[in-house]
Amino acid sequence: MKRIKPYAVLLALACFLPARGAGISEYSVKSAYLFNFAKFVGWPANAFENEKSPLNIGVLGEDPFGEALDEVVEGKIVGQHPITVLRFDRFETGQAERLRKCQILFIAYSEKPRALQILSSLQGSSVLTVSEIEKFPLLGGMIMFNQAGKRIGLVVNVKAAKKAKLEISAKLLQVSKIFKPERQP
Amino acid sequence: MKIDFKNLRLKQKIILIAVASASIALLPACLMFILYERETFPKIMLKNLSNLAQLVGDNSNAALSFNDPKTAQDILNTLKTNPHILSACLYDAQGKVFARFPDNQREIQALGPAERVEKNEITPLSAKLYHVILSGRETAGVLFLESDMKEMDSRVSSYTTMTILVWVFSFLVSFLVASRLQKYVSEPLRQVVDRMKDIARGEGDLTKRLQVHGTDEIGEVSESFNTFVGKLQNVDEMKLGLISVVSHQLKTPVAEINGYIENMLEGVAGELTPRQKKYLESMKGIGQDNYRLISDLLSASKIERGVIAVDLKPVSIKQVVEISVRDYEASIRRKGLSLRLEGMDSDFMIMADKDKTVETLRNVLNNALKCTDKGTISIRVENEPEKGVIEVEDTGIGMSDETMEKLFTKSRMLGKEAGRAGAGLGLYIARSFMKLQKGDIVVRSQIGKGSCFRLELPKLIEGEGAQA
Ligand SMILES: Nc1ncnc2c1ncn2[C@@H]1O[C@H](COP(=O)(O)OP(=O)(O)OP(=O)(O)O)[C@@H](O)[C@H]1O
Ligand SMILES: [Mg+2]
Repeated sequence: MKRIKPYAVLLALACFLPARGAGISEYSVKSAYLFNFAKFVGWPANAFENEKSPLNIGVLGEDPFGEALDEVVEGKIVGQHPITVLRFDRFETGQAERLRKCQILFIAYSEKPRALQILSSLQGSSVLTVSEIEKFPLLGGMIMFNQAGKRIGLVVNVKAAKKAKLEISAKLLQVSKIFKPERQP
Repeated sequence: MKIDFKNLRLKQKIILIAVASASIALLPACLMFILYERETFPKIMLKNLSNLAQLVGDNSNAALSFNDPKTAQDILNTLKTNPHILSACLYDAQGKVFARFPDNQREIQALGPAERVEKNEITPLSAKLYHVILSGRETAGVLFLESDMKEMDSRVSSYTTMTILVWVFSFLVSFLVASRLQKYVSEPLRQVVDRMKDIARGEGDLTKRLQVHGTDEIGEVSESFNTFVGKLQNVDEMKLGLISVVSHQLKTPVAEINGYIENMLEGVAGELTPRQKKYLESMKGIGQDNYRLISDLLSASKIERGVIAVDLKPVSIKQVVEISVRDYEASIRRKGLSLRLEGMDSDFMIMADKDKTVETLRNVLNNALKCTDKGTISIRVENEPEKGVIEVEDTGIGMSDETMEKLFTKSRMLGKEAGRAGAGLGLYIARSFMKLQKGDIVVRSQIGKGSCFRLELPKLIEGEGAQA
């Protein structure tokens, strides 16, 4: 028994390692997605204060990510922009100016009633809006997380993104569903 | 096939050397060519594979980032269009298999952290490459590609074929060039060799010189050979000069001695005892032989130097035969042979130099006597429409075809056999004299049975004699 023990430890370790990958929770996946958007979306130059100013990821409403998002973006730099996370508890009209400082804004489910209001307050800015609210693209949102079986899929409203002068990479579109407004009246 | 290089003709040697050296010189180049290709091609192949990995990796970046194995699979499936890709596998950032090509059932191990690095491996059958896919600064996944080596194999074999073709081509070209150029070396040498053989056979004309091409070794050989032939010519001339002077100086005294012997035998110096007579008879024989030899030598040297002249006059053929036979009748009888004369009842005239015809006939008779031990020597005169013929037939030892072939040439002149069988001058002079008189001498003979020499001379044509 004593001789077998080290192997048992190794075996346990071997089982544990892939298990950790498999057991990644929904929101850590979504935080990774949020961060990855930064790499597949192009902002106009005036969206940043300068070349090295941070790329802000805003979370508006009840934060579902917790630590996961902070862990994902920690120490990360995209282009020359360090990534920071800004949190807003709930939407207030006076906040609009601050929300516009975000490059990516995640609108939490809690803000569903105010979604239209939020989106209209962002009109004319280059903020990539992301949410899990149903029919988010129909409301004028840009990217919606879409649970499709095991995989968390994406629905992209290309028109909205274009209007905000955002360039969504073809590669991102390749792995997303494209929102078509005429089909969903 | 074994080539006996030593015994090849010079021409063949030169071609062989040229072809061999061209082929051998080209061999390392050809080998280098193939080896270089073998060395560099894997690198080119890896580079191409790596470019492909870069492209596919870049394309699957989003699929990895947003966890879309279906799209990743679609991307990998595009590798179908590349017939050399054996397999491909896309691992995610954690090393788990994300998508694979071809999409078969075989289980693939996940990649450990240590394996998620850029690396490659080449074996004779395949090239394997791991490519780390970066998304920004983070690792998005790893792409594994495996390509077969068929491209390299086909390329190496086409290079090999090409090299062999180049080799064969240069082989042919060097062969053609050498075949054309070799004659500048072998041709002058062959001329020298041919001339040497002629002279060694005793047929070459010593006054002729080789044409000298250039100043190289072959030119030197030709030139030295010419010098050598010049010296030979000098020696030959000296020999002829000596013979001519000596024989000329001896001819008159020998003739005088012969005259005294003749007189004494005729009793001019008083009555002879039988013993004295016998001695004088022997002396007479020896004297005649000497005289003939000296005349022959003188004639030969004149023929050789080309200073002989003939004096053609109408001559009675009967008279010529009588004068010639007179000296031999006694010797023939003494040897126990019988002498037969035919066609001597009627006489006619021929156009000839009397002395030379007599000397010719004497030589032929002398030979017949010398070569016959028993039987008959017949002398036949024939009156043909345009020529007069004298045939001398014996029942002697005869001669072989080889002897007959060289009979009238000067190759036997004063040669090895000289002295034993005779000086070897007789028939050479005979042929020369006959030709000078627009006649001819021919022989037929059978070994052991006897020989027959036939002298032909032009007859006197009516009207010509009146002038003479
Ligand atoms: N009638 C013959 N029968 C057989 N052999 C003959 C006869 N006539 C000539 N020959 C051969 O041909 C040779 C050449 O004859 P040729 O008269 O030229 O020279 P030779 O008799 O040897 O010498 P030379 O006549 O100068 O004294 C002779 O040596 C002999 O061998
Ligand atoms: Mg003779």
